[in-house]
Amino acid sequence: MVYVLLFVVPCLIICAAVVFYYVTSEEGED
Amino acid sequence: MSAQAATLIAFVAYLVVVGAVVVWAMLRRTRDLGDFFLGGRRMNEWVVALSAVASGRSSWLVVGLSGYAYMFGVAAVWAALGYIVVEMFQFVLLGKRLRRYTHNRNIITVPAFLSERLGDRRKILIWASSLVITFLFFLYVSAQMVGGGKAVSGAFGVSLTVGVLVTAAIVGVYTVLGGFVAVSLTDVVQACFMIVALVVLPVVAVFKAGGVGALLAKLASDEHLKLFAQYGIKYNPVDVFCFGVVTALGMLGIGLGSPGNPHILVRYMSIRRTAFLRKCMLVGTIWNVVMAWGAIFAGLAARFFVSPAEISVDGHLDRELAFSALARMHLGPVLLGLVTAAVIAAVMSTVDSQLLVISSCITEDIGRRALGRGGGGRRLVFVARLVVGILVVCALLTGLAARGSSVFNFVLVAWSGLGAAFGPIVILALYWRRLSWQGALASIVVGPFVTLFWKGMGWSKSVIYELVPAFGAAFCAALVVSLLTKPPADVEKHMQDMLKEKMQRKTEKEASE
Repeated sequence: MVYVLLFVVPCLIICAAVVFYYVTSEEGED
Repeated sequence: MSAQAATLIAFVAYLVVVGAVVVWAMLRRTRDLGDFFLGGRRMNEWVVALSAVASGRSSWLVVGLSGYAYMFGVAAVWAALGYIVVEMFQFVLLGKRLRRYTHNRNIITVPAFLSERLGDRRKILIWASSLVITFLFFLYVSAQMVGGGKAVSGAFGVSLTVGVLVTAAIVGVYTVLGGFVAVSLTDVVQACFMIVALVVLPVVAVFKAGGVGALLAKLASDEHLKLFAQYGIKYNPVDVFCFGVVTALGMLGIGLGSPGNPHILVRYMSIRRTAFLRKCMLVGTIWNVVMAWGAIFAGLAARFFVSPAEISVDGHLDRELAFSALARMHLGPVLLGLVTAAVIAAVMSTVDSQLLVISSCITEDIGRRALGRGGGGRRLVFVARLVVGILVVCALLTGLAARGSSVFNFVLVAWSGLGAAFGPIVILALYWRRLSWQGALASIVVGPFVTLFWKGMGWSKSVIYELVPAFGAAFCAALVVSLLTKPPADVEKHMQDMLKEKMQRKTEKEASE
């Protein structure tokens, strides 16, 4: 559990941010 | 070279960079309050991302969170997790609608947004929200002045009074002269200094401890636990629920403050294009994660290297000194100087943003919107600068008078009060058609009241962090009162203004000029 909080959780948050970035794209936005 | 000389050189280097940024900001046109308080909505995505996260954190991140990790160990992750996740969603889910609406209706402050959206014809809501923000931010700024003063005094061996004066002078000068552009750009500089502090120090310290495995093994050893128990620290640093599940949930609740803190929300309103907020979310989240885990590893390494006796003052352990004690132990003079400058920068990045928000409440919301005192754009900008100058002096005097009190107590109360008062109604105003101005007023009254009551009863420590019940109570108050009162008129038009961008071309044309 300690290693999960120290290493897995931050990686998961960054992955979630990347997924959220693509999920929220709107046509013609970029 | 002595450590103090190196610190001075690093600090002077920091001031030179900040000075250059301010001069550049002053060369840009400041025609009206929109330019002074929102940089004319011409900020790029990097500036918005880094200034939103840096101004939201203050020195709480560098010395506060590392102090939590020193005290509680790995469980400090709960304190970071909540705000990181909330802000990740907030950039896009709140930021986009807020940016579109305020741009379409030429609004530059959070109280004005609420007043306009909820049809506050009697100006009651704008008065209440401006006064609550002014009062709580004034407390916040005064406390941060003391925090900056402590950092300067610790670094250069001057008295706390001189430290507070130096902090106030630097922040006052660049906020008055440069406005939002200078504040946002200096936030970026400050965010970079914080990266140096929260990446270099933990990496060096964990490496010297023999790696993460060796570090955690020593922290969990009986000998080490006994040493800390002698100083009243009985938490096992490798137990992720060492203070219980309820306290962990309360720490997650720190994130509830982000949607209600206007100095973070105005960053979204300032961006050049709404579409850029997605990239801001990505940059801001990565910065938030790296900085938070840097602070936590720094705190764990401090627990490995720094004994409680070394950071005890008059027999009382001050966990917020753990970060600087670790830095002194492991960094050479130049890096130590940069780290110290980063702590000071962290304080300043929050103080300057909050000063601007208070000034905008007084000049734009109370002065122009509520009292109808207008004048030319440049005259209002002059008044806004004057208000910032007066605020700096008042916050300085209050900070000096309250210098004996704990910085972080003030900060957490102000963060909770604002988060509870405005968080629920900002979310509801953007997504719920039925919210009325009376419902919003109920939230503004109930949120800070429950925060202070909960804190006063001592339940923050014995039950749960005050923001969680205060946010819940304010949310319920807004819902119930709204359902009992008349809904706002023309709500569909308001909702459309959140979903569609008008005047996009005009803005881009203005930006390219």
